[in-house]
Amino acid sequence: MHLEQPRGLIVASSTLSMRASAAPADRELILRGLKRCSLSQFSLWVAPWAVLLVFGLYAAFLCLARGLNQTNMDNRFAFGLWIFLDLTVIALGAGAFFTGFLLYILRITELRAVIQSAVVIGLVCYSGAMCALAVDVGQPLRFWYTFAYPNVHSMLTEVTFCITCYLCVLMIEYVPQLLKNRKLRQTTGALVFEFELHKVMAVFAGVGTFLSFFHQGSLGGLFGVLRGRPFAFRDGFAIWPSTFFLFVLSAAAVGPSFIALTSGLVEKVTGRRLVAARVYDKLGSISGRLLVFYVLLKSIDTLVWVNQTSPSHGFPAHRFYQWSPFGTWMLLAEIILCGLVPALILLRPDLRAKRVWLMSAAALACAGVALNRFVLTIQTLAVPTLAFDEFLSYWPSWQEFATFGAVIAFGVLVYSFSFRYLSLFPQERELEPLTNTREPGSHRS
Amino acid sequence: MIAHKDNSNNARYGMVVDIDRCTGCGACMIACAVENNVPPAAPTANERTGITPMRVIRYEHAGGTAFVPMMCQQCEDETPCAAVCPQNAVELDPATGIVGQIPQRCLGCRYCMAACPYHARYFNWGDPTWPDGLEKTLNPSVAPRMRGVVEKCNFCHGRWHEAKELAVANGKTGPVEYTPACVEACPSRAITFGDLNNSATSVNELAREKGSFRLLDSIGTAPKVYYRSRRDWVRAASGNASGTAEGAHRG
Amino acid sequence: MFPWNYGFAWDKGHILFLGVFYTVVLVVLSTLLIAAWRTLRDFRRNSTASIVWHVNFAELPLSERTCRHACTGELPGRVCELGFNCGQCATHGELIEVLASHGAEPELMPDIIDDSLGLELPLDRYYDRGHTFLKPEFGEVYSIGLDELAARVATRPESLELPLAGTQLKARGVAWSMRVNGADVHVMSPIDGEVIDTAHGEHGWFLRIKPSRNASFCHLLRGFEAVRWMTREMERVQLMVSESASIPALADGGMPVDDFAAACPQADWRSITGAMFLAN
Repeated sequence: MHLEQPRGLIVASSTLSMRASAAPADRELILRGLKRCSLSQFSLWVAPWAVLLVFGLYAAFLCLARGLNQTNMDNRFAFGLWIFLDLTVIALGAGAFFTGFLLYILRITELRAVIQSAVVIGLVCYSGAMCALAVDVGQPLRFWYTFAYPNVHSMLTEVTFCITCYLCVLMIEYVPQLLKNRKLRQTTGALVFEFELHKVMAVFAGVGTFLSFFHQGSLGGLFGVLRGRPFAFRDGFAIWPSTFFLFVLSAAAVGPSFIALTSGLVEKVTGRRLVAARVYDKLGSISGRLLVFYVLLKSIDTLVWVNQTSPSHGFPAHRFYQWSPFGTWMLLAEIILCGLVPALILLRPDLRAKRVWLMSAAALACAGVALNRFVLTIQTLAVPTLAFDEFLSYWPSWQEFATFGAVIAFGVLVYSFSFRYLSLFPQERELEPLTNTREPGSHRS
Repeated sequence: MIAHKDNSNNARYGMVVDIDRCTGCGACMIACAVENNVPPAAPTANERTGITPMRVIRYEHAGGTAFVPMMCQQCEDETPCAAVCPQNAVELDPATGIVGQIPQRCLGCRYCMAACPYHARYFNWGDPTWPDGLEKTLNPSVAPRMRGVVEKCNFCHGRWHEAKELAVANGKTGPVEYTPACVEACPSRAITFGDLNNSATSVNELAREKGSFRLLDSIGTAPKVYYRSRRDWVRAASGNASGTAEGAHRG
Repeated sequence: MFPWNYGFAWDKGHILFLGVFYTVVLVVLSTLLIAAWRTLRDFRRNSTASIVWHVNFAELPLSERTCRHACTGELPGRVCELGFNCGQCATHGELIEVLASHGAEPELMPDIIDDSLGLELPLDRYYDRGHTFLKPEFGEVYSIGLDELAARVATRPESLELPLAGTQLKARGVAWSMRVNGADVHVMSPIDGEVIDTAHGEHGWFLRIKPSRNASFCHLLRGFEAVRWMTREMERVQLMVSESASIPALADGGMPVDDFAAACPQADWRSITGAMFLAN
């Protein structure tokens, strides 16, 4: 300390200079220009998720060690909570492929602001769903049979191939972000590879779009082809039932909504502005337009099914809705409340400009796609097919909830660490500058 | 339609179940479990997690009570389970018409169970266990299934193998005659079994007779298991779930 | 999956399905390999320095990418998109022509030392945006050192890693590395050239360099332009120090202290040096 009053660029009083530094203890790992909370605050946030992860891993271990008798699934409810949530999570994770498609193929450059975050969300959604599936199948060690001895006519084969390939593509898309963390970027090779990888990213975006189109669709086809389940069975085009196309469209429509929703949530949790308002507006308008289109097609599909497909298989459609609690209200909630309503909100520029409306509409749209997946998995299995059949219900066991809790916790943890140590929102530096440097133009010499 | 006009040496094994004759005694279920090495139910198992490739369902109706023995219906057209299996663990054998489930190849994804409209497929939710000593009663011609795979009725495929071996040893080719365990065990002779391709068999004759019907014919899966009843309300139950919550009790 | 696997048949379904699958695998793998091969090529061609600069520059905050003509007030608010490669900038070219026609093109002014900022800013040399100077010494040899502001931040480097004589430097590539106030700093070379001699900064310079034949000087600042830029940098550094250390650090018209870090050890020197030396 050699301060002499007349020499005054930096004037520090001795009391103030004793104050602890505001930078967190792990600042060596945090990118320059990004402000992050203290390490202890971050640990407090991470701790409950880590506990949930460990607890869920224990539940998953029980299922793997003792068998699926740890779940409440049974011979009638052969699919349960896991498949329903896997389908939902994969639909929401579609934001990754669709944002990539819009940015790299259609060149909607505003979305550069959220692509990194979308890739991480896609990655955690897909890898989480894959982990849950590994617990869900009875003989997980035989997963490679599907690749070695595929039944190429099964929708599930298509799903398995596409999701595995797409997960690899997502990992490749995640690599550039990892390479740009504060430590790795010190090595020239990491940055140069990142640069070269970024140049060919459009290829990966294209391949990702192709794969996503087919596996989102095949997940819908999974149920649409079930001739033995007239509640789910749909006619379609070539080998694909109509649910194939509806799943693709609904995933694409809800993807941007989910990106907006998660970005808003991250802003809320971190208390930082991360994405410019015009990007939210763009996401909302894309989602809204696709959602309207989806609601239209879904309505047509439902009418065709009610009036033609189902009766022609000997099942008057109205009978499916006689089993409470799954009445027609489910259908109306799915199409009107969680489809048309958010679509109309998102289509109005004045409404989507207000954060509350945008977030509510996005949440409704996401709930709509979840409800759609619920109907196709759970309701399909619940409604009886035979005359002497019963309507059956099912409630998941704690092991099922806990295992899925682990998937959620895994996602939150990966995202939290990525957010802390990587740059997921390029606009953050501009929206939340570390210093209030004046506009260059305002300088007077 | 029932007797295919093909000159091949292929059989199309089928079954005709006379619902009016079934008393619901459950002997077929026991015989099936013993024949096919189905382990005793785990203490935690319930009626929805147990393994009953043959299952007698009690159907209560205003017209009376009917017992419906349910097993794999051996669908012939667009076999729902075989079409969906991702790794070829389900196959329709062209030589017998039997839908086979290969447990060693099964991933346990249970997509076939969701696909089956007859709920005739069962999953091994836990490890199969036999009380001490009981494992000595296992049938050596049928492999027990491991945990985490799907199983179902295969018309006592072990018995078919034995019959085939015997026929071959005697220098005979072509379809063989054999009797599944449930057919053998039924005290009221409610179940008839045989080759639907062979016009001389009684199963062929019974299947064509008036009063014979198949379950969920409207969805076009062409099962090879036929049911018979003289009661109208039983025949009416061949269609879809009526939507009325009248009692269907499983026995 | 393979023809010798159980269940495989040369039928339409298998050929179509597996054909598409292998195409996808091939496209993904070959794209990855292309990226890896190009990376190796960049190393062979020695173009890694400009790539690293390109990647880093794209992530600099707008306030650090200010155009030189915005610093002087000629084009207020303008942000550089070209990595400070003024030679590629059409606007810069036009402005230089206009200035030249008015006879106002900045030149080196060997006898003038600007001290209006409380720092000595000799105008006999070029200044780079990464806080180095390039001073003509003799013949074709130039010396490279830290300007006065950077020198007061890096008064006593904890460690110093200088290139060997004979090393070929690339503009925007790392000239030398040092550890300053606990932060690793890679100082960018202002120009392409070959290292002739090194020193530990005791004579005010760290390297002597012979610029390569086609080395460009046009992105370097000189004269009055350098003064304007330095004014802005002073203000920026001062703001960063005061905000990250939560203390008032105000220009009150007095003289800057000799050693910033010693005067204010609690400031976030990693961020400040990053912002000064334009690294992430």
